[in-house]
Parts: sequence; structure tokens; C-alpha cells
Amino acid sequence: MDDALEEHLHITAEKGVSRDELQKLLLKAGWPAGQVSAYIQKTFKTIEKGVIIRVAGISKKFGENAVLDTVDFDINRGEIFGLIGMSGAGKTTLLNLIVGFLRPDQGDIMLVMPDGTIRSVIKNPELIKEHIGFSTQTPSFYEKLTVRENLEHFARLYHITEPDLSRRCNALIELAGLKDAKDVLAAQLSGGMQKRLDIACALIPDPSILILDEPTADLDPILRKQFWELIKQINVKGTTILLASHFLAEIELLCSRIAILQNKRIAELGTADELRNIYSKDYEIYLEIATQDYSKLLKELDKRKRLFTKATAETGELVIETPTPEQILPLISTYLEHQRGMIQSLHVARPTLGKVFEAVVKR
Amino acid sequence: MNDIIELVRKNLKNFIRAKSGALVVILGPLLVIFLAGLAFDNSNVYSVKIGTYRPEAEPATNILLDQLRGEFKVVEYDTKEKCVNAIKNTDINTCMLFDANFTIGVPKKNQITFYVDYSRINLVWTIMQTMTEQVGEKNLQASQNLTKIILNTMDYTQKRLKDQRAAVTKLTTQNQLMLQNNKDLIAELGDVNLGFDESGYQVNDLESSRTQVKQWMESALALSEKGLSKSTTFIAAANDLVKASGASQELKDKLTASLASTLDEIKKLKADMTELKTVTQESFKQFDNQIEAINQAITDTKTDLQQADTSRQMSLRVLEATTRLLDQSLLTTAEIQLIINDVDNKINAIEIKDPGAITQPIVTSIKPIVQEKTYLNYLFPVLIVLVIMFTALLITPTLILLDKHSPASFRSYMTPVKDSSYIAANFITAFILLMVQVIIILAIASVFFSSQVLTNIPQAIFLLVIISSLFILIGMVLGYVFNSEETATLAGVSIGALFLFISDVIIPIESMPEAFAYIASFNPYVLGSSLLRRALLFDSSLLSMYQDILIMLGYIIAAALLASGLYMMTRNYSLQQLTKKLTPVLVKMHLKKK
Repeated sequence: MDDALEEHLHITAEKGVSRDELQKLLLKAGWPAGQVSAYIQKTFKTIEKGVIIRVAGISKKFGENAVLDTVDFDINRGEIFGLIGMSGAGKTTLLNLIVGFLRPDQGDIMLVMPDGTIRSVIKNPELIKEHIGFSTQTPSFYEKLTVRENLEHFARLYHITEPDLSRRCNALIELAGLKDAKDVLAAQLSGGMQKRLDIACALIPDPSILILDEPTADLDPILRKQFWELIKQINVKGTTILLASHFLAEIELLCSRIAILQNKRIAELGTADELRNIYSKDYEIYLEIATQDYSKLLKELDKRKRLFTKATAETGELVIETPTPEQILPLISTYLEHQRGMIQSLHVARPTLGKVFEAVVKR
Repeated sequence: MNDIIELVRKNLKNFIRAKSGALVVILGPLLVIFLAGLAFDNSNVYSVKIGTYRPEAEPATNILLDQLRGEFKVVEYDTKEKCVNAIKNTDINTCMLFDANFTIGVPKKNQITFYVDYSRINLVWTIMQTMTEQVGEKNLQASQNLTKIILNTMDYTQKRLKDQRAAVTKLTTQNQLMLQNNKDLIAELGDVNLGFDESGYQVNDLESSRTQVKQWMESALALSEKGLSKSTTFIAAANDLVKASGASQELKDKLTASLASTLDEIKKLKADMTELKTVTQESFKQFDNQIEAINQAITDTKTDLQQADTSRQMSLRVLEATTRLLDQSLLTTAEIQLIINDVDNKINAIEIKDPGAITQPIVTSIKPIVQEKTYLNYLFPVLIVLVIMFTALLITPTLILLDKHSPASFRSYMTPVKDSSYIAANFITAFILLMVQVIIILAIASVFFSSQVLTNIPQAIFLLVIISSLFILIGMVLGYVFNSEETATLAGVSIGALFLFISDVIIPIESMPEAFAYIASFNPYVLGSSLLRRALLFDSSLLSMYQDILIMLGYIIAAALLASGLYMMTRNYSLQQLTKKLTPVLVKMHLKKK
């Protein structure tokens, strides 16, 4: 897309361009009809589905090394959107492109305004500052300022004045659970508190979208749990959240939709169940007994191969993948009664996101 | 050992792969050395400008100035004040004032006063050395000429004295002869017996004899007269009485008896007179004897005197000879006197006799254009600009890089704050820090330095603001260009060192090659220190310094534009760098792929 057209599109988008107008413009610019159609479909689909942000055909290279190649996805208003991928898959690059730290080589990022107009954040970087909050893996605040001073500082930079400033800061301190530490230097806060302060800082402009890049990487499980609770609270208040993390279990629990970034593109996108279904429709039965000897049970299972897809005994645990767990579980129960084996654990679950992820990566 | 080699290899790789750092580390010192080498690669004073004021254009001053014009730029001024002010305005480096009626070797007319700017200490010494050499050369030449005159006079005197050596020898001989004559005369006169034996003449005896005779004679005469008178009177009376008396006879008898007694007395008187005559005769006899003795003595004296006369005759001859010798000596002496007068005239003809004037025919003195207590006062403006320069070049990039490297810069970037606000905030922060330092320095200066240094405070503050602004903006450029504090600090130090080397702090600009000196004159540090020096030390007005101020303002605008441009250009890059720093895995992956 040439600059003039892009500029024109940008202007028209700001005014709330119509589908027909955009189609005419693109055709006039000499775009192939198919490409025009695809572009319009991508662009206007967001509006139709109540999407808040659309990443449209984003590509990014560092030198000759392509990190992202025509990445497309939407984020719906009010959802928690998870982004997972291997280290180096381009998650952070993608997030940096969305928040404007990097400029894409190709493609655009569209933001759907509350009034329904679509605006390019590439062309209108000030939109990012108004509508997007960003929190990186490393907390982003001034360590030599107190909690309140940090919040007040950034609030002033967002041109929030008294009395809104105090009200907003107090509310964020309250939300982040930093009331008792409001006058403590940021450097002296614990890791969890620092993360919460960082989120509080990101929420100062009351953004429509909060982007979190590996927010819990340095936190222990308890702090991570507290943090996710905070994220849920924020989401409940109406803030859309884009989350990149490698804690897949937590992503699975927290996110309404998840995108897997692989080979420079979005390899899979959907709800946790949708992703599992892509991987496998089976359930997984996990059994652990004291003897850790599953040979006889496996022999029994071999006689009913139609009931399960796969059974493996690894690391002291037997995993049976089956579409009908209700038929397998009685077999196990009977076997255990006869063998008098002491059960350590037994549970049935859908495949974890980790397994889905592994499968996607291996694919 | 292998470990060490491996560690060194790793260190070098790390260093070389930090491209900008390596570039600055290698090229920075090279550039500094190259430029400093260019600046210092000479030993001459190329561009010293000498101002001069002379009440009259005497030949001596013309000669001196012509000599100076051969090597320096010489500018003549109408008044002393204009000449001195020209130093303050940095139009010239030294002002050369000649005494009225300047004459080499004449005290109080042979002084040259050099006015110099002591705040440019190294230049002062260079000028002093150069002028001492230049004037010293002339001084030596004049001193040699004066000494030559004295030596010629001495030579002439020696020659004349040599010519008169025979005359002096002759005079000596004559004097020796006169001496001998005098000795002979003394001996001769010593032989003359002029002794006089007073006892031989018995003059005292003669005197007493004569006196006694006289007394006797007088007594005799008195007695005779008395006797005669009485006798005459008595006899006459008696006779009369006797004759005329009607007295009785008895009475007449008595009278006759009385007359007879008187007659006896007269007879006795006659006897006495006779005795007296005898005695007188004896006395006169003795007197005659004495006279005879005197005559004898006179005869003896006459003899002696005749002998003395003989000696006198001889002495006269000797004296005549001596007189002749003296005449000749006088002639010789007169000749010598003439020569002495001639030599004296020659010596008097030497105009310069003062030893100081002969050894130093031209007196030079060096005076400062302003009088300060210590060199520190002169150096104060230069030092304060030095502090400002290095502080700004080090603090400003550090401030910027601290913020650039702070994770909080993400957050700041996300705020709707204009880029110009960030640039202005960086500038103002550095400016506040710098001003704090300047205030501390000024406060210290107000306690320790002379009051004069701080008299021109409003102008000084204006200039300090300009100077600080420029160096802060240069520091901001460094802060925006470089991405690590170490590199920026090194670059700041390199640039500061460069400014310092190509200034007049180490060697005077005037001693640099002309083209280089011209470039150095536009060095912000040189301009800044010069402005502040002129304002603080010379009370120069801003108007009189407007050219330099305009150049500084031009630099400020250029640096501000450059800093702003660099900020815009490097902002996203810095964010990317920070992103890489915060997501090391990503960077690692990219590097691997590359």
C-alpha cells in the first residue's frame, strides 16, 4: 500500500469510512479485486464482531531476519486474550508493534474507537497513549519514587489534574492492594507489589486495552495467583486485556481466547476448548499407584483398544487418552480392586494447553 | 593461563561488538591526539597581535616597531586607553606603551610598558618571553653600542696617555733633579751658622748700668740744684737781713752764726758732690768696657753673616737651577693637563653614563590590564567555564541515559507527553543541576576572591546561562546519540578534552598554526571562557561582546536542533534497545539467526 493511499485511508478511517468507500479507494489505487476484498473483509469484520483491536497482516523483520510474517488476529472488547509462543517466537515484538515501540514493515493495527470508527494506531500513535496500557516483564516505574509519587507523576503526564488525580491514584492504590505501601519507595517493594504497582501505573489513563507481557515471570506461585486475581478484577471493570505469558495453565484458566504464535504467524487461535479440540477430542485419565507397575492394567486395556486412543506409562504415571472416560474408569476400578493396588492419584481431564502447545510446535 | 586468555578474548569480543563504544574508545582518543597534535605541533608564536601607543613617532620606536612587524601583527592606537581596551576586547594580545620622547638608554625616556591580560596566563608568559627576546635583542644591540663608545673613549685615552709617557718620564727626571737640588740646598743651608750668643753681648748688664748711672746722675743733679738753690736763697736772705736789720746785735750775731752754719752745710754738699762724681766716673768706665765687649760681639756676628752671605749666594744659584727645572715641569704639566682635558672632554662626550642605562638601554615593564589579588582570580572565569563544560558534558548524557535505560521510559513513552517536553525537561533538569554548581562556585568565589570578580553579576549570569545552555545541549546530543552511559561519558570526556586542548588553557591559541587558531577561536569553550573573562574581569558590556554572543547563540540553536532531531531519530531505536535488553531471549534468537 502506498503512503498516499494509506494516508487517505487513515483520514477516511478517522471519519468512519464506509465499506463501499474503502472498496472504491483500493480499486482506484490499483489493488487486485481479491486483495481488496480480503482487506475489506478483515477491516470491517472487526466492527461486525465488536472487536476492539485488529492486527491486520503485520510483518516485521530485524535486518534479514523475519520475526513476524502477516500476522492477523482480532481482540474482542472486554475479553482477556492470551498470546503464547516459544521463546523468541515474536510475542514481545508483536506486543511492541501494538504499543508502537516498533513500526511494522507491513500491515496495520486498527483500533476500534468507542464510537465505532476504525483508526490506525500506526498512523495515530497518540491513540496508543489514550487507549492502551502496557506492562512489561520488568516493572516500569521509577524506583526512587514512592508508590504514590509514581502514580501521581504518571497521572500528571496524562494531564490528569486535581481532584481527579488524587481520586484516581487512591483508587488504583486500593485496586492494586498497595494502600499500606503507598509511601514506600518503589525499590523497596516486594516483587509482587512492584508488579501490582506497574499494573496500577498502566491503568492510570483508564485504558480500553491493557497489554501485559510476561507479567508474572518473576513471581512465585502465590504472588502469581494474587496477580491474576487483580487482572480478573481489572477485566471485570471492562478493560480488555492482551496477555503474553508462558504460564500456560494460568493462561488457560484466565483467557477467554488464546493465540499460539508459531513460525512467525498465528498458528492457532480460539478458546481453550477450541484449541484442545484442535489437538484432540479425547479426555486424559491420569493414574498413579504405589507400585507404579501398570503392566497388567495395560494388558487389560489392550483387550479393549476401541475404548482408548493411547495409553502410556511414564514417570510413574499412567496416562490414558480416551474419548469415553466413563467406559475406561470402571475397568480401572475393577482392576485396582483385584490387584489391591493402592491408588496415589486418579483424575480425568481434557488435554492441557501445554500439550496443545507442544503439538502445535511439533507440527 | 588459558583461562586468562579465554577471559581476555571474551572481553575483547564484548568490547568490539559494542560498536559505538568501541568506535568512541578507539576513535575518540585518536581524534583528540590528532587534533591536539595539529594544534601543538609548533613552537612559534604565530598570531600574537601587538597594539602600540607612542606619543611621538621617534626613530627608536620606529626601529623597534619595524622589527616587531617582521614577526607580529602590529596595530597602532591613538591613546593608551584605546590600546588597553583593545586587549579587553581580545583585538590584540598585548599593548606596548612607549615613554614620551622615547630614547634608548636615557633614563625616564627609555621605558616600554607592556600591558597584558593576566587572565590568559600562558599567553602572558609567552608574550613576556617573546617581547623580552625582541626588545632584549634591541637592548643588547644598544647596550653594545653604548659600551663601544666607552671602549673607544678608553682606547683614545690610552693612546693619548701612551703618547705622554715620555713627557711624564721627563717630568719625573726633572722632579728628581729638583729633589736633589733641594736636598743640596737643604744641606747647604744647614751649614749656615746663624746662631746668636746673646750672653756675649751682656746687654742686660749694660742696661742696668746705664739705668743706675742715670739715676745717680739725676740724684746728683737734684741735689746740686737743691743745694745751690738753698745756698743762694739763704745767703741772699741773710745778707739782706743782716744789712737791713735794726735788730740788736745779739740778734745780728745769731744771724751771722746761722749764716756760718749754712755755709758749713754748703761745704758738706760740695763734698758729697765730689764723691758722686767719683762714683760716676767709675760707672762710666765700666760702661765703656761693656760697650767694647758689644763691639767685639758685633764683629763676630759680622763675620758670621759674611759666611751666611756666601751660602746664600750658592743657594741662589741652586734655586735658579731649580726654577728652570720647575719651568720645564710646568710646561710638561701643562701638556699633560691639555691631554687630561682632552680625555675629560672625550669622557664628558659620552652621553649615557648610568650603569643601569648602559646594561639595559631599554627598560621594559609588564603591567596587567586589571589588577587582581591572585592568579586564581584571573583564572576564575576560565575555571568556571571548565567546570560548566565538563559537568554539562558528563551530567547531561548521564541524566538522559539514566532515563533511557530506565524501564520507566516505557511508561513515559506511553504517556501523551510531547517529545519537545521531554527534551525541554532534560535540558531544564541539567540546567538546574548546573546552576546549583555555579551558585556554589559563585558563593565560594564571593568569599575568597576579590570583589571585582563578582561586580558584573547580571552580565555574568546572562553569559553563564548561555554557556551552560550550549554545553548542556551538546551533552544532550551525546545522550541521544549514545546508548550506554560509559560510551557517552567517554565521548563527553573526549569532547571536553578536545575543547580543552584546542583552547588557550594549555597553550595559547596564538601559538597554534594560523588556520588551526582560526578554527580554535570558534571553539565553544574558548568563546565561553573569553566572554565570561571579559565580563567578570574587564566589566565589558554585552554590546561590546555581541559578536561572540551571537556565535554562541547560533551554536545553541544548532545544538538544540541537532539534539531535538537526534531525540526524534533515536527515540524508537532506544526503545527497541531497551526492549531487547528486557527481553534477552529475543535478542539471542536474532543474533543466532544472523
